[in-house]
Formats: sequence, C-alpha cells, structure tokens
Amino acid sequence: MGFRSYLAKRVAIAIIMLFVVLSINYALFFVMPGDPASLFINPLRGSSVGKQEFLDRLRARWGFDQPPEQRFLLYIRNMLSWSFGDSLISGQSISSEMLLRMWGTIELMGGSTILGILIGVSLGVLVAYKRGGKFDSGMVTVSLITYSLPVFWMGLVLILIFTVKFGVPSAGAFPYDWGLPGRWPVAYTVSAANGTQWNGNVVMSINPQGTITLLYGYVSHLVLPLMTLTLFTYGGYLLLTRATMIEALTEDYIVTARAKGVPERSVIFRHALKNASLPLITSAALAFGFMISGAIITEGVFSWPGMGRWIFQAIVFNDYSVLQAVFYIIAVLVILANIIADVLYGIIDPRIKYG
Amino acid sequence: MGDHMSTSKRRRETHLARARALYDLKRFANFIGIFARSPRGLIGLIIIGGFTLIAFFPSFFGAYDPVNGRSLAGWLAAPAWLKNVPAQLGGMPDLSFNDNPTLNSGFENSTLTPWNFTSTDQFMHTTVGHEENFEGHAGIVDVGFKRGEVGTAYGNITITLTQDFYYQYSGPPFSFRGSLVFLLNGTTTTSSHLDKRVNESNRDQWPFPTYNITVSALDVPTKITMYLVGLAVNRTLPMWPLREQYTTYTPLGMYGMAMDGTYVNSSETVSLLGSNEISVNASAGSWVDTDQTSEPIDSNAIRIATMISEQYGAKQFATTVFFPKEATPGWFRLGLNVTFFDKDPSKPASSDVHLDTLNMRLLGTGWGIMGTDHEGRDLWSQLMYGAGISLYVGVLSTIVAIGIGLTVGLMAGYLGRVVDEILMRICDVLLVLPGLPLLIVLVAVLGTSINNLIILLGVLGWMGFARLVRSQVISLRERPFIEAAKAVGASKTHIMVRHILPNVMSLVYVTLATTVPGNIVAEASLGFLGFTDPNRMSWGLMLNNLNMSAAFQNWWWVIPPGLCIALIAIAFILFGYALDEVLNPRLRLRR
Repeated sequence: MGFRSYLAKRVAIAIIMLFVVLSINYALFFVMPGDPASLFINPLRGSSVGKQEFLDRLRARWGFDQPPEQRFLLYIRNMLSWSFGDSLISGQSISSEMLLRMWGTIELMGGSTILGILIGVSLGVLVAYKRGGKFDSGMVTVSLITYSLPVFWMGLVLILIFTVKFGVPSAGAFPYDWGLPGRWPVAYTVSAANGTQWNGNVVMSINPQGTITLLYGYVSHLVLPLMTLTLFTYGGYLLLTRATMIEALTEDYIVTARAKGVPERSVIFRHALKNASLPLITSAALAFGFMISGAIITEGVFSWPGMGRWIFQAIVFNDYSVLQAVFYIIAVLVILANIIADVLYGIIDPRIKYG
Repeated sequence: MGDHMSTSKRRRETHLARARALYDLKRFANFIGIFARSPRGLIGLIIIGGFTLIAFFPSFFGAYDPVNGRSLAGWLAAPAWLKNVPAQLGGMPDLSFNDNPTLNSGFENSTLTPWNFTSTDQFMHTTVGHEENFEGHAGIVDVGFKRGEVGTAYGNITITLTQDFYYQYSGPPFSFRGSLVFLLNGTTTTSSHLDKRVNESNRDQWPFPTYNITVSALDVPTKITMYLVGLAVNRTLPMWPLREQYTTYTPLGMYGMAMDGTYVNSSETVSLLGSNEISVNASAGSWVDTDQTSEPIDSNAIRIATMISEQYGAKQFATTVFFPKEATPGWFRLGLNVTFFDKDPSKPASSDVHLDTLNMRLLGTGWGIMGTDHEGRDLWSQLMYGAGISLYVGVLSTIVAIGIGLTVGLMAGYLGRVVDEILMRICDVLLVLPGLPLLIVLVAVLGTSINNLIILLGVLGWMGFARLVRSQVISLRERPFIEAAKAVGASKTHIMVRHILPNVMSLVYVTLATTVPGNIVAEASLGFLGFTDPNRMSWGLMLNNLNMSAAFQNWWWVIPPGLCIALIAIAFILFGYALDEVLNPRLRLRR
C-alpha cells in the first residue's frame, strides 16, 4: 500500500473516531440527569433579566424541544460548523473566546513542550553517550524525580522560591494586572479625547520603550509557569531518549560506522539519533495533542488565562456549552496529532511500509 | 483394592504438593535473594512499608483531627521547633505558644487569690464560693449592688476584678480569646430580688410558678467590661472591652427574658480604639457562656481602628495589644469592670451579677511539628491521614485498571479478529478522550467520594496496559507450548487462564508497581483542584487549602505534602524497576 492510500485510510479512521468521540461527548452532556435546558442555565447568573430570551436562544441552538435524533443531528452540525454558542460565564461567543484562550495555552504549553523536548533530548543523548557513569545515574535519578513530582506542587515550590523571595510575578493575569485591556499581542484600541483611536500594536510601534516594557511584563509573567512545565516534561523525554539511544548505540551498524571511521558526532546524530527518534516523535506529537488537558493544573496554579483554566471554570460554574466545545477541540487535536505522528514516521524512516 | 489405590494416589498427590510448595518456596527465596541485591528496590520497599504503616495507624502518628480539629493554635502557625533555630537560618525566635496565663479563673479558690477585687463603695457586697454556680463549677463571685432607701441616686458605681499575669514570649500571640460565664439578676419595680437559686432545677421554665412577680423593668442597668492592659508600657493603650449593657427587660413569651440592649457609648474606657466592642446577647436570669455565644470574645472578631493599625502596622488585634516589642515578654493585666448605673432615685434598687470562669486563652503563632493551616488545624496530622487516602486510591484504582486491562488484553490478543478489533477501537476512543478534564467532569457529576474516584481512575486508565498485554499475548500465542495445549484439546478459556496468564503475570506485577504513582498523582491533582471529598484530608486537599488561602510563603505547608507524594511515587517506581529486573532476566544481561 502506498503512502497516499495509507493516509486516506488513516483519515477515514480519524473521521469515524471523531464521530464516535462526538457521540460520547453528546451522551456525556445531554444524557446526564436533569433537564438539559436547566443544566445550561447558570445558577450563579442571579438575575432573571433576559433569562427567558436566553433559554429560547438555547432551545433554538441545541433543539431541546425536538426529538433526540433531531437534537443529535443539530449537535453534530453545530460542532462541525464551529458554532458553539455563547459562554454562560462571560456571555461572549465561545469560538472567539476560544481563540484568545488557545493562544494563552499555546504560549505556555507549546513553549514548554518545545523547551522540554529540546532539553530532554539533548540531555538524553548526552547521558546515553556517557552511560554507566555517575553523570548518567545522577541525571536519570534527577529526571525520574522531577518526572514523578506532581506538577502543581512544583509550581507552588517555584512560587515559594521565586515569587516570595525574589518577587517574580506569579499570576498569569498579564496584561490585566497592568491595567491593560487585552492579551498581548492581540490588538486593542486606545481612544483619545478628540475621538481618534489607536490600535494597540500601533501604540507599541510608535513607542519603543512601551514595547520593551510590555515585552518585559510578558516574559516575566511567562517565566515561572514555563519553568514549571519544562521541569515536568523534560524528564520523560530524557528517559525515553536515553533508552532508545542506548538501544541504538549497541546496534551493529554503529560498530560498522565507527569501524569505517565515521566521525563520532556523525555516528551519534546521523546514525543513532535518527534511528532512535521514532518513539520520540510519537510521544512529542501526542504531547501536543494532549496540550490542553495537560494545561488544566498548571494554569490553575498560576491562574493563567488559557484553555485549562477555562475548563476548570466551566466545570465549577456548570458551563456545559464551553465544556463540550473544549472536549471537541481536544479530540480533534489528539486525532490530528496521531495522524501527524504517523506521517512523520514515514518521512523519518522510509523503511516503514504503510499498511 | 480401590481403597489402596486411592491411598497411594493421595500419598503421591501430597508428595507432589509438598514438592511443589518446596519448589515455590525455593523460587520465592531465590526471588528475594535477587531482589535484595538491588538496593534501589529495597529503598522503595522500605518507603512503601513506612507509608503503609502510617496509612493503617494514622491516629497513632498524628494525634489531632485533620478535618474538624480547628483552632488548635493560631491560624497559619509556624512549626514550634523554628523557635530554637537562629533567625539567620530562617528560624523564628519570636514565636509564641498556646497559653492560659490566668490563675484561679474558675474562682475555685475561695480566697480569690490572685484576683484583686476593688470595691470602694459601701453598698457593694460580694460573695465568693456561692453554692449556686454554672454547670457544677466549684466557685463563683457574686457582685451585688443595693440601695434600700428612696431619695438620692448614687450614679455610676464600678467594681473591678483584675489579675496580673506574666506573658513569657518575645512575640505577640496570634489571637487571644476571653471567656466569661455570667448571670444577671436585678430588682424590678416591685423591689423583689430575683433569685435563681431556687429554680436551678427548671431554669428553662420561666416565669416560675413559685414567683408571683410581674417583671416590667430592671431598675439598675448593668454593664460588664472585660479588658486587657499592658503594664510594662505605662499607658492604657490597647484595651479590650467587652460591652454588656442592659437597660430594661420585659417578659417575652414562655421562656425567660429578652434583653433590650440599647447601646451606650463606652468612650470613657476606650479612647483610642474607637468602637471595637463585642456585645454579647444575653437573657436575664440565665447563665451566659461567652464561649457559646454566636460571637465569642475573640481578638479576631475585633475590628481595629484605622488609626491604630496605621500607627502600629498591625494586622491582628492581638498583635496590637502585645505590641510594642518592649512590652513582651512582660506583665499584662486582665480586668473586668462591672458598672451599675443607678439613675432612678424614686425607688429602692438592687442588682446582682454572678461571675464564673473569667479566663483568657492565648493562641500561639507556633504549633507542633508542621504548624497549622488557615483554620488552625494540625498540618502534621493532616499529612499522616493523607497517606492512607493516597495509598488507598493509588493502589485500588491501579488494581481496577490492571484488572480491566488484563482481561481486555488477553481477550483481544488471544481471541483476535472481531473481538480484537472492537476492543482495540474502544481503547483508541478512550485514548482520544481528554483524560483529566473528563475525570473532573465525571467526578463533579457523580460525586467526589473516594470510591467514585477509584472506579473512575480505573475505568479511564487501563488502555496502555491492555495494549501491552495484547502484544505480549500475540507473541505468546504462536509458541509451541500453546500449540501443544491446543493439540491436547484444551479450551480457549483454559489456555488463556492456565497457560497465557502465568506468562504475563510478571508484566502485571511490574505495571502494578509503576502505575500506582500516576494514580496517586492524579488523585492529588484532583484534590488540588478541589474535586475531592472535603471530609477526607488528602495531600492534594492540603495543597488546595494552601492555594486557596494563598499562604505560599509558609514553606512548612508547601513542601511536605508534595514531598510525600513524590517520595511514595518514586518508591513505587524504584520497586517496580527492581521487580522488572528480577522478573525479566534479559534486562539484567543488558546492563
């Protein structure tokens, strides 16, 4: 079977999978006990102003007055057409709020995953190369420990060290805690008394000092959560790289390469690492897929305004429309990550026969 | 003949069983021998054993109630041993501990020492050791005022009861809590002296049939003020008044008297602190225990005047009272003023105040091995009780997960085809679902009980192991001994249970040990987010409390729970790796 037909098969399976996950989500949020419409009403909203109108809007969107099969179809259509409705907490459109939140999570989780992979893989290669020594056992022990520590605790300890002692900001409320209206670099407008308006990015570009200040605020808020997550993730990559690299380095072709007189650097990176990287790629791709669900705890510790914090708030305040949208997005991301991992496999290792 | 046969058969069987047992024993001894050679495995085993011991006897290791034992000491107290550490090394020499400095607070000693009783007025009478007292306490002070004649009112008459005590710590306490048990009686318009003594047995039934008194108003309003003065600094600055003010009382329904507590400004006793009295609602003619009132006389309940807190930078009232530092350690005075407002000269008047248990407790800023949390609960006990929950959830949920994963893996691997396809697709779908958010949603919906958590962690955590078992079974399926079993005519169930299962058991043991840490961390994470049983103190919940009360600077609260989670997780991982080395001899060769 060629690559194309393999990819087609994978995509077909992915679509079926997506459908199944959608059904499970539907079951999870709609077959739960109680009147579904009342589930969508947030008890904390308090005032009944516009409640009936709100209910009617909900009914029309999710078809609560229609038979179950109609409702299911409506649900699928809404999900696929990206119309998730409004958040019950903020009252804003979920899809637009999701973009903002997603950016927050990508900054944090994406950054830390990349950092973790870079640090973990390079240390793993080093450790595998010097295996058996004190450095090896030390690094393995340290990464085992950081890997098995609860990530929220690591966050708390880092807050204890850096925020309490050195005053590094720990809250992820930037730029709100600086009195700025929106999340950088999303553009925002500044109105002057004479009626002219500036775009937020324009303000930055005409005021380089402001840009530097903003950048400093941004980085100083990011550094603690990023450090926490990187400390948490690098250990797994280090251990995985070490295991696969040791296996690869004991193979016969390495002996052959060395006997040929291939430079050591080339032996390690071109011969061993390339062959050892397959499981790394799978786990890295899956890590990106599970980015959002992994963010829930760290974002909770640092009150970082990302997807994880959103999920937590949605659960606490029974915001089911947000939850089902987020669950859908997570499923899509994980399925995509799986496909990407499979495709990357083929690019890295041409020996793999698709089928 | 048949009998003989069966006997020999039985003998052979017992012999076989004995040989088998001996073989098993030898294998086990061999296993222990190999295992003991791995120091890491032994360390893991010792740590797990220690935590298991704590898990089974938490009350032996931690003496206090981890959930309900509130206000054992001041809130957010530091560990007591920090007092002995030099300040340069992070110690806290200024810590204070729980104290109860007043002596003879229940007036058991009838000579009233060491209380100073000041009464300058000839119309006052006092009795000590009265037989009528509060809930069987030994002694009582009865303070009375009596004016028999009509003509001149005496005005405000105050008697004072004080005791000086030595405060021995260099830093202020977290808070102090005064307590007083008192009973008010007064004359009425008909000049009858209400005496509770007779009616002690049926105190609740008021008005009593034995008294034919129509009570309309109390002639002598009475005010009780409790205060605390620092003696070392010669000023009456931080005073601590308890205001009790009674003007009139009128009969109300069947039960007792309602107090009409019209407020009288007590600015003559407290000039600096402004209005920070605690008033206690009381019914006349019945005992009032200020500890039982809705607002006990606690320094935490007193608002500090803005001026004072700006001047002394104090956040807690106790810190203001035991400020400045030259006052501590030093002498302080606990006092009680009873003031009778004799204002109406047109008729004779008398009034009685019965006092019992005039006491003050100081809650320290230091406590125990690990200090206290934001509600004054013992953190060390919480840590000890948390071990049980972590181990219980971690181990049981792993057993559930391994059970499901083993069954699925065996069936998918050995039965193959349709069964394999279906089970593996279920596996794929479950792997795509977001683990932690889904877990939180389900816990939030189904309830946060520990057993729910175990089942959910098990049901959502078997997929990886099922895949592992399946791949192992697929390779085992083609081995000659399975072919042989098939040729003999063994059923599929028999082959799976008797031939394949024993060969994947080593996998089970190792995975059991290496999966527990993940589940322990998952349980702690849920606890940290607050999705856990609030009546079972777990390590995650401890850190949740920490996060909620934003006490990040209390390292003695931040470090231990996470360290315990990490320790137990690493112990299981070390144990699992050592087990893996013993059970999979190939691994040993590679090293």
